[in-house]
Amino acid sequence: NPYAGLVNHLRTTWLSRRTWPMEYRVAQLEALGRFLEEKEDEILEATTLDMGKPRFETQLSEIFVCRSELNHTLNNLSTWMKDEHVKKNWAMQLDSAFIRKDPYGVVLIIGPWNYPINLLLVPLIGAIAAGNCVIVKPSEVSKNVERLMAETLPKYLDKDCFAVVAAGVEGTTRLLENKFDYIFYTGSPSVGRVVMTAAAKHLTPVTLELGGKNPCYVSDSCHVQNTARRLAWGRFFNAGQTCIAPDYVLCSLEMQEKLMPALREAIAEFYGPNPQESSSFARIIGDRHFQRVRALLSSGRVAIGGQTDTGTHYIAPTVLVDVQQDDPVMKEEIFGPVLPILTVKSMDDAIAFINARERPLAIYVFSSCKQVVNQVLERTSSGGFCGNDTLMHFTLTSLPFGGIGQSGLGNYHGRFTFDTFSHPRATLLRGNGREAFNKLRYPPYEPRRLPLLRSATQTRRHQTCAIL
Amino acid sequence: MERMQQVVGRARAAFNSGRCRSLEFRIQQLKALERMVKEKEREILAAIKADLHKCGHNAYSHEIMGVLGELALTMEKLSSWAAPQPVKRNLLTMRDEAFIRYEPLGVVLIIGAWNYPFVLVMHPLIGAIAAGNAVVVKPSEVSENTAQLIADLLPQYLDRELYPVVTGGVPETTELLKQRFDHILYTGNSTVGKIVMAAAAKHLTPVTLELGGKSPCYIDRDCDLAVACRRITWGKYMNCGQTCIAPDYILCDPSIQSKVVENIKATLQEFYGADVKSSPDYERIINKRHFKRILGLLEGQKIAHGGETDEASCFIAPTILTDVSPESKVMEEEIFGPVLPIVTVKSVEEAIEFINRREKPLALYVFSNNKELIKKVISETSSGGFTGNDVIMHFFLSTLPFGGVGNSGMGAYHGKHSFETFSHRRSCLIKDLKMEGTNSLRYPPSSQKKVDWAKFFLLKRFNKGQIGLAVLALLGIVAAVVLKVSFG
Repeated sequence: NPYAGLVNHLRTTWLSRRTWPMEYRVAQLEALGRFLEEKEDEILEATTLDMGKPRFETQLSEIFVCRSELNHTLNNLSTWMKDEHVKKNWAMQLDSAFIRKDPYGVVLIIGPWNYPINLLLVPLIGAIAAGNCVIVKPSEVSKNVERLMAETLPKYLDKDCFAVVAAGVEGTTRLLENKFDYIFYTGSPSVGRVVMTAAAKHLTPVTLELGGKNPCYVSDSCHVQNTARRLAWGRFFNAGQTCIAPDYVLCSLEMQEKLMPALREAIAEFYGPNPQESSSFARIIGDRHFQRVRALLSSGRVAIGGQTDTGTHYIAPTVLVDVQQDDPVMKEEIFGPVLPILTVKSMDDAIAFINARERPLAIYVFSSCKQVVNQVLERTSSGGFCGNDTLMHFTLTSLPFGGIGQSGLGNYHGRFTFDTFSHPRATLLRGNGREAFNKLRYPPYEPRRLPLLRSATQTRRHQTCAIL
Repeated sequence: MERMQQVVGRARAAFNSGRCRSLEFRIQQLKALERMVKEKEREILAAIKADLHKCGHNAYSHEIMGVLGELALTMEKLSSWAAPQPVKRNLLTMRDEAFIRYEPLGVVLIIGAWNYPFVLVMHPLIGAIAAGNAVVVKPSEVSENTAQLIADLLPQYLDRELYPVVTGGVPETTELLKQRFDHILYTGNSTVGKIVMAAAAKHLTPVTLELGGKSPCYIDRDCDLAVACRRITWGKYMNCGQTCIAPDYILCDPSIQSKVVENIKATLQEFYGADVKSSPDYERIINKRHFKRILGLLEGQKIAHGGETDEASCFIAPTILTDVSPESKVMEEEIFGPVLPIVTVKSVEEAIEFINRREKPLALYVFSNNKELIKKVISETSSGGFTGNDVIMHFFLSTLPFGGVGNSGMGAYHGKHSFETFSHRRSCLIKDLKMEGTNSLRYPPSSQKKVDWAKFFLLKRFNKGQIGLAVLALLGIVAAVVLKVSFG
């Protein structure tokens, strides 16, 4: 196995416990911070080359997010690392009972191509903070970022504990044959299955950040212009290549008529009269995805946009109407700047439509009526939920970010990343005394001991007082 | 095998009906479960006795008491566990509602084990019901009496469609694992654990695997040997050694090995009398297959105590082996029987190195008067759980998550941890459709001004504690107004 040597090397360093002390982890995290600062231009350059990502978008969604997570982690690491003391029962009052956060060991992080910095480094931050040794495998699809990571990142981090592996499908398959103590994967559900199956061979726990089609219900009572703006922003950011982008809209025919001019206005506001000339609009990552998304334009009818340019992988911000649920655009996650609108007769229909499909990574609802937002929230299931906006729940580090069902398992961001890469170890420290008390549990057994044992160790259900 | 598809399909339809969403419904089901345990106590104890030759008191304290405790705790705490949890907001989301909702996963599968056949099904079941799921229960066919009893009793007390019981062996379980579940909790061995996880991977189903391994027990020279050995004897020989967190083997200095043997012998006398076979408090090996397996481990070993067996009744006497070689068969697999090997090590460092060369165990035990030594072992090893100066006991504190790591498992449960294992934590952010001002800074076209404002909002450069929440809120409002004026 071509990677066995590397994994063994990291495992040997792991056994030496070099990554355990807090000072070491802080030093490595600060080095990561220096990488982000010193190589900011290179990062902006690489993402522009890979997918024409506007510098502003890279700043916002890649660099700022990583810096924010880094600062949050450095601010809180000592708290997170502390033993978490737990409530004890009567029998253990004099004992020490706590949860110790142990690192797992040698972990693997596989990143995707759409936000190649953020979706690789934010998990890395948590993995380092939790005291693990890490192999990161950036996506080979975002070639320039992959090169940047493979050549530059190792210069900042301890080479004995952290490594970057550049590999395609074949190489990644071989990499997955090795035993890891945790695997964190961001990408598609089909590859997610492959990763989990490989992990099962070694009983390796996993977090899978996958995707799906994120529905967006727009109710009849809403501020149309603001809705259109937020919807357009979420859909067309990164040319639609966002796992939590609103994938399709459900609304009434009346609302659709109102949304169209509002969407047109928002797109013009954002990208000018010709988005192809705007420096604020990204491109599709490569030939294969360009062809794939372009083919979806034949579903329904193009109401806005629809222009494409093969040479530059440009697809205009597009809105499709008259879309049926069996159209190609409704069969796969779009991952492109195409927004289909499907009409439904009511909120109940929208909810039924959503529930008939796989549970998505995110569900969006736009409504000025609180009840509508709550109804959709309560009657559906998804990784996350955002009312009256798109994407924003991603930016709050106190919210766990992850999917459910086909959209993923596990979660991260902020403290949740640290928790993901830590093993919560139950620890009970007892004393030698009170051996007389222990007699209650030893043979030969006497039934008369049971009531005492029970009251010392159990929780009693509080009875509600009839008078009060 | 269409039966499996139908059972799971019915459970899913029942889940989709939404009736297990309300807390009242869940508590009602838990109450019914509590009634079942209380009303059918005799039948439950009889089934466990038939399977494991376990006396009533023992079965009660091992299996029933814990279940009643877990039920009481869950019913008590459910409304607070299930309540939406508000989270800290940043400047950008200051005026929004941000919270985590605990939602059911859907249809979950619980596969039980034979060694504590009742509690290892009931504990997870309680958590799964509390979290609002439909649950398919598959008790271990090896403990056939308890399996049959569970299959008979649950439908009498619980909603039949939501909580079906499936019985059977390997073929039935294999077929069951082909169905799609939203979580699988399996208790058993690592080999089958891998099969369960591989099956789950096909559907991207999250799993909790409660497996096993060899749980080491280090006895320091500086400890109260009498107390230590009594506690070890209790934990090792309860349920005839068939406990996933039993101290599997002892590591100690050669100078105290014989004293350890003496103390354990004395305790065995205290516990089971001179003739262990006739003690009502001593169990039997579950079946002939395991009996033969454990017998095989004794080959070529120095038996310091015990070693008597009787195949007809699957009896193996409490046995101690001394000067055991680390390469011998008894040190390769989890013993799961009343055989206690002692491996000598010259120091705690050697013990730590010995432990770290092997798979991560489910539990780790250290006996010592030296607190620093205990801390050292904890810090330099990894295990599912740890108890210092006792064995088993971390299992009984429901505020501690019970589970393994590495080969000994993944995930954890007990108490609130069960509820969380069987719930989906859904992140929710509810914004206002107004207040568009603050949003403008994120919209294209971009500008340096916008980048600078974004940095202010998104990068946590200042210590919030110093500024105070009120000033922060004021800043937020001022900023929003300013932005609306400049970009709106």
